[in-house]
Amino acid sequence: MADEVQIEEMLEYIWLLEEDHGKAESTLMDNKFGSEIARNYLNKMVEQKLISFSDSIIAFTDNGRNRAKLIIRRHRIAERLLNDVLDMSGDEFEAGACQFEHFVNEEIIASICTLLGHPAVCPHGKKIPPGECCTSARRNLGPVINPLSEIKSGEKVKVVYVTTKSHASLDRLSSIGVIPGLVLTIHQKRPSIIIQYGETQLALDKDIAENIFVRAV
Amino acid sequence: MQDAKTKIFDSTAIDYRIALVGNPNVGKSVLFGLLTGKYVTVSNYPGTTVEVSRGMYVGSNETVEVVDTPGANSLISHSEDERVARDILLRDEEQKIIQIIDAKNIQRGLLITTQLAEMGLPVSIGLNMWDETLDRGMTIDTDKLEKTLGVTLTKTIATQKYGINTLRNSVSSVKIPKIKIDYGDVIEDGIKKIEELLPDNLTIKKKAVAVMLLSYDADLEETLKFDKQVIDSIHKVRDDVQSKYGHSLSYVIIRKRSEYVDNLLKGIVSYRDKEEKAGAISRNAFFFFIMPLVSFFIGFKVMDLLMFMIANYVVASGQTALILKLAGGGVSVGYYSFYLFSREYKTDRKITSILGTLTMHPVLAWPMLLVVLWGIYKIVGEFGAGDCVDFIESKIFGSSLEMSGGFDFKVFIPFTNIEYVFTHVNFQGINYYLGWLCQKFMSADNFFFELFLGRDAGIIQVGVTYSIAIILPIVGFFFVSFGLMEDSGYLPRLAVMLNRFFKILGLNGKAVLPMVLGLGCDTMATLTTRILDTKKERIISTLLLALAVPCSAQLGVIAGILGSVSGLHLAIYFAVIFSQMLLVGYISSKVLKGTGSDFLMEMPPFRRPKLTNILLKTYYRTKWFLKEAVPLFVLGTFILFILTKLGILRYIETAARPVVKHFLGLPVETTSGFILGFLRRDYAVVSIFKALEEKAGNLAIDPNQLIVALVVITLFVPCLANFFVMIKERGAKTAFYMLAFIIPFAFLVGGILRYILQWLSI
Repeated sequence: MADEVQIEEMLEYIWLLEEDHGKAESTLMDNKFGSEIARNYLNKMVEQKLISFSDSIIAFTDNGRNRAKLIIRRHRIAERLLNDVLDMSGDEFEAGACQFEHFVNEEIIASICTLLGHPAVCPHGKKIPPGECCTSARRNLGPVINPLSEIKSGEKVKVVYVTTKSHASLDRLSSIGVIPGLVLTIHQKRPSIIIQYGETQLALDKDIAENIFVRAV
Repeated sequence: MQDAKTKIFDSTAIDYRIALVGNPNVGKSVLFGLLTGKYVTVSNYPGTTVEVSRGMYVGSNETVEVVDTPGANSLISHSEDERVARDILLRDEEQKIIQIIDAKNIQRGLLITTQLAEMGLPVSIGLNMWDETLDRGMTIDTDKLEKTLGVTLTKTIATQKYGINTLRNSVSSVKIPKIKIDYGDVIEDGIKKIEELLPDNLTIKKKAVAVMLLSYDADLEETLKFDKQVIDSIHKVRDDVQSKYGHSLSYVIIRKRSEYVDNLLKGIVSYRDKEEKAGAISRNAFFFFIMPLVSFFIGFKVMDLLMFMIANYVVASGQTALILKLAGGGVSVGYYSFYLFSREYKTDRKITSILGTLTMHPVLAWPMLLVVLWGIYKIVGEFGAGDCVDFIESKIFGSSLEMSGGFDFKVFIPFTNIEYVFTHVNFQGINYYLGWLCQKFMSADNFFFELFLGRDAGIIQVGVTYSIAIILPIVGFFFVSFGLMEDSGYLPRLAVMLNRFFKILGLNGKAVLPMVLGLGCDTMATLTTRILDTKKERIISTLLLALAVPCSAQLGVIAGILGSVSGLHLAIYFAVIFSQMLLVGYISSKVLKGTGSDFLMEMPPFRRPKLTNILLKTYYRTKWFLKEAVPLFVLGTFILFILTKLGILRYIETAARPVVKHFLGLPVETTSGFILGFLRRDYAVVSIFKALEEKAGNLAIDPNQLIVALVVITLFVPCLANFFVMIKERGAKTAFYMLAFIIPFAFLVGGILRYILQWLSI
């Protein structure tokens, strides 16, 4: 079991290296995990046909990539849950997410993902690999949290979290008052979405509305 | 210009400065006007103040300079407006702040107060729009809030000049607001570390700067001109703090502020359950009388316009047409009433807010838009460009060689055929008298007579007459209708409706303001492109204004000329211009580097516009126009005169002959019109029309030729003034690139259109 956890950690790290640098060099693995452990486990992973080496670059096999994807997905979904819904912050949620990813099965993750309205990025702004639940049209469990763009007009909702790509949009939204906890009403949806809160009416693009996640009040 | 002004103020003894600060559209500009007696454009559209205005007032024993800043939702800059506002606070020393808060959005206003307090700036607060706040059933316990904040609060209603003197006097007792936000240990720790890195010569408190730096305010680093080393250390502290949070620090900080303000307002703001109900009589009149009447008219008119466009294909006798129109009216009453009675009648909303909703309704707003456009056409196109221009041009100015014959001073009673003539005014036109006077000591073919009063290119006979008799009434009436749209709050609603269309062009709904203003004057519109958020959007909108948005002067003339062609040709003209706008906008949104911005716009409430403000605004805009345009007209006419006299025009005509004659299929005489187009676009329309008219002699002008010429002229280079503004706003390089694109493109489209028309044998 401990082996499994270690392998998962390493798969996760290779994924991150590929994401940040485009390739994963084995020396970086040595730095992170210590050269002995790294060599030992990388060999095991090659045996299990999860990765392959060319020179000192580590590449995923299809099998390995799928496995890593699931781990990353679990980690980032967990981050969303802990950070946005349970409102943990700082080290707390990071550590929580790290433990979470090794113990939760796919079914639970799918439920959480659905519950959160199939988020596309983690709180740090990195992409969450989509799972089956995100791509399939059927939604067994009605999501509790939905993007604002999917709420019918006239409904009253509460903002749970906001995930726009850029700091600028996020800051603009928040300085106008659109922050978690805000209760707003959808005034209309076409030709543009207009929301009303307090005495403010705000018109916004669908692109922005897709990044504002809300729950019914 | 700006420098010169500042200098004058510096030399005067100023006791202190006041900066007006506040969110967008809270009435800073109105208050600025009231405090200083100086006019700045006031409108019900967020972000209208793009330039900083400074004015002064002399109190009983002191001289105060007042600075109007652009609206900002936060003093951490995300847009040019906010940066401008923030930089004023950073630079100017020994100043006091009057913060204007829209009382009904007090929460957002106080968010800025927290930032001012952090900066350590002394503040006095004006709670503006107090009337609207009361109307909405909102009460604010100002005494309690005053005690909590420790600053003076003044209730004001700027548009009614209520509370202005109290606000002015409150300046003597400005204080730093008693606000202390705890950002949590991690951030507070980071703030302390950054404070240690900061130099001591800052005009505002270190804590505020530290918070801004933690909020990723990159512009601030530039403004304060830190060493690279200092910046690196600051970034290191920030990254350390950031790593403890899942969200960006700026967001965490704003949330802390919001929480603080929310707590502060507990027990201070309360709502009555219901909005103040509109008077039963006016309310019922609105639902049972006004709206049915208006909606009947809308339906009637929409049907009318539809039938006009297909008039050539449907031969409807008078009676059928009337029945169709009445049916249109009936259907429209049905729809509007159904909506109003099912949705709005039982609610207690005010009539203006019902109208505000109606004007951005996904379906019902469109016919209303059509009728609004028709109304503007009636006022600007028919009354302004038709009746007024005719009268001023032929009767007031007249011709230098012929008598105008005078006019009747009369009253026409509508709906009857009674005309009552008071007297005949035997006025033969200014130009006639001037010509008559000149002919006393020179003949009509004297060089100077021709220079000033010549029929073709006389500076007074053509240049001045043209700008004042033709352009002024059109532009003036346009500014009136534009002012109405702006101040009622219709314009931002138009932005909501047209957002999707502008998205195709790489812009967003916010671009409605410059684009619609462009229909009045492209030059002025190019100046207002500054309200757009990104550089890319500003470039695209400048290009589209120059290329495809005809200004009111041009539209007036074009509308007059197009009156002589069929509805089909009219439709072709508009379809071509519109499609080119789409095409060029779409392509440039793909080709140009940089990003667009997302549409995020506050809807100001629908209001009854104030006539005085509209008239004042029109006056200032017209004055600006006269100052800019008349000299250019004169210059243009003068250049034309020289070109004609020296025979250069003929030379250019010869050079351009192949393109104009063989590619566009137009008579060579029109060439001079295209060259003139650079001086005034509208001017070109007239001269080309005249050339075509002369060529045709007694025959009718070939409508295809006319359409091709008009398309080229519309797409052609903007007027000289517009080009100067393009250089000023976008830089010479960009402006010349645009010019180099527009000229060949206009000819290309014209040529292609000619061949298509030929091929289709229309």
